[in-house]
Amino acid sequence: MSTPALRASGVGKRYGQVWALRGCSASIPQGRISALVGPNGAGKTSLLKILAGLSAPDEGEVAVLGRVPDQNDAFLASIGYLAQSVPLYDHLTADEHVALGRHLNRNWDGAGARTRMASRGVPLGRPVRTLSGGQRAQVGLSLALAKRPEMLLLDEPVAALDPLARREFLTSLAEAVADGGLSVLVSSHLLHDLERVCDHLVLLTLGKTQLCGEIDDIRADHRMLIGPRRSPHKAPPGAEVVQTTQTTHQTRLLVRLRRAVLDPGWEVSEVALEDVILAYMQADRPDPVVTAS
Amino acid sequence: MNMVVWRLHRYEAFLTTAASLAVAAVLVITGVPLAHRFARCEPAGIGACYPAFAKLLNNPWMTRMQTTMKAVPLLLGMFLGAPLLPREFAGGTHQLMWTQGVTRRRWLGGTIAWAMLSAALWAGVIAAVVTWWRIPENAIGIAGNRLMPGNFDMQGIVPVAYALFAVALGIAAGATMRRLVPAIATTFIVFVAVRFAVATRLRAHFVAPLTKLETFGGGGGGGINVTSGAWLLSGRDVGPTGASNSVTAARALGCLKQVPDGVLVQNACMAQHGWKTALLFQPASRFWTLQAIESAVFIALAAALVAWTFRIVLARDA
Repeated sequence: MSTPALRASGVGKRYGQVWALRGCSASIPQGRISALVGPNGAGKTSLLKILAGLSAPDEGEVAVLGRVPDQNDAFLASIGYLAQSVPLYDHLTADEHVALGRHLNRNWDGAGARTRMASRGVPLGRPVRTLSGGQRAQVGLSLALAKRPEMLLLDEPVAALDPLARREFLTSLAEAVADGGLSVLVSSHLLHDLERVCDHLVLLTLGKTQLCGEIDDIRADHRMLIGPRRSPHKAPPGAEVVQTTQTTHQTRLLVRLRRAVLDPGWEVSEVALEDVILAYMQADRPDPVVTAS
Repeated sequence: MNMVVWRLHRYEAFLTTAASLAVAAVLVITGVPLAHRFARCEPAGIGACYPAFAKLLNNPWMTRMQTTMKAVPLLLGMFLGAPLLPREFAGGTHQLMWTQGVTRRRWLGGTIAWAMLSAALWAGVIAAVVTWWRIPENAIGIAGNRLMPGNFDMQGIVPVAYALFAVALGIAAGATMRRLVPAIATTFIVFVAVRFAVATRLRAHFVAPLTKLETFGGGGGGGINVTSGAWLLSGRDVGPTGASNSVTAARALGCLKQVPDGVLVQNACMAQHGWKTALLFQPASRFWTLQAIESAVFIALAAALVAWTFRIVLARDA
């Protein structure tokens, strides 16, 4: 098996007394777009910064394409990073940013970046502070791609974009990956934003990995079990309960299946990926939400 | 990194260059008539220059201009050094820079090197012009000679060392606090405090001052006056046995004279009994020695601040 694009094991990051990440482990394959999903404050930004070499973990280890994130030329050349707010020099034009990058990177595809931006209608000669959010995101993505990275790390790049700009951004991203040789980890607080282009998922809540795997496998592994009201602990063997919902007559269990459920007392149905993710996010709250209607 | 710094900071470079050249131009424009006048009156002796220059140099604008010259290094520290890093942190652009193909160390090294080099250049140009501008005034000494506090600080090579210190201080404050306004405020406070402490406490003792004994209460300064170019630090009375309380001695020696308001020490009487006045001073010849030592002090401080900045920025999470 080839080196994973990214491997994290037991990663912890502390700010003062608060752990933003704790015991976070994940692995994502090369050549794919992986989604890093979690609610606000789950530690997505902290994890991405550690992967980009911008901050050091307090415990655990990470490797990006087999390299430890560090201030050395080989690592820096291999990653592309786009921070959440798409930081750019406001007084410079997109064109000047591309020119700047040429002096900062040995392997720089300035022409490609210009072509990419021009094809997305980004005005190259205007100061970037005058650009729309979508155009700005395109500039950020183009600059990150111009480094010809092997691993691209994107922190909530579409959160601030309108649906059209979001679609354009993801199309650009998918095209870049289709060209080959690129692995992507892109974060969002909702998978819905990314589902169209991602095929691998890392779900993070409260600084811990809840799920990590192929989206198709995650879909296949989770089922909703509906039966007459009973103690939620009486889940059928081989099913790990993620979320329990009790109503006056029914018990609904969202479960992760280890093997097929043969108990005829349960009605088994498929669940939308979005619901699976929400269930994991809720399950990690101190007080699980149980509706009784 | 050179091209990167140029692309990112060329507007500041243009602006500061323009401001420095404007200041230099004002100095040249006002300095040329001073130099001409000085050339005319000097052959007749410095005293001959006094009346004409007294009027000219007492002009409040002249005083203000010289105060501004002394502020040049501080202004460079506050507005060139202090904003350098907080501006990146505020816009998040450090994250863009630190994930490019150059290491953080090289990025920081290039940025700091250019900031300090250009500050030294601008401060150096202005200091050179001020040094020329001050030639007549140093000689005439209306506001003291070039060795005296206030005058020493704006000419020669120390302004360049002050500028290096101020910019290094600004950058270090920006790296530590990450926010613009606190960094500027800290630069101001620390720079003024350090400059004041060195000028008032240390400078006079960089090299042990010389002592000259002169006639008791002579008042003539024993030739150590402003036009001699020396910096008179203090004068005290010394007796033949090393005693220093002249009033007690005067009473014992019978050199006190009753006057309506009290008593008066009679100088001639004291002198007869071997009392002298000891003058502590730095001779004019030490101007460049003191300049070199003071510059070395500020450059060493600047180097320490740069080392601190590297430590902070390389260890810090983005």
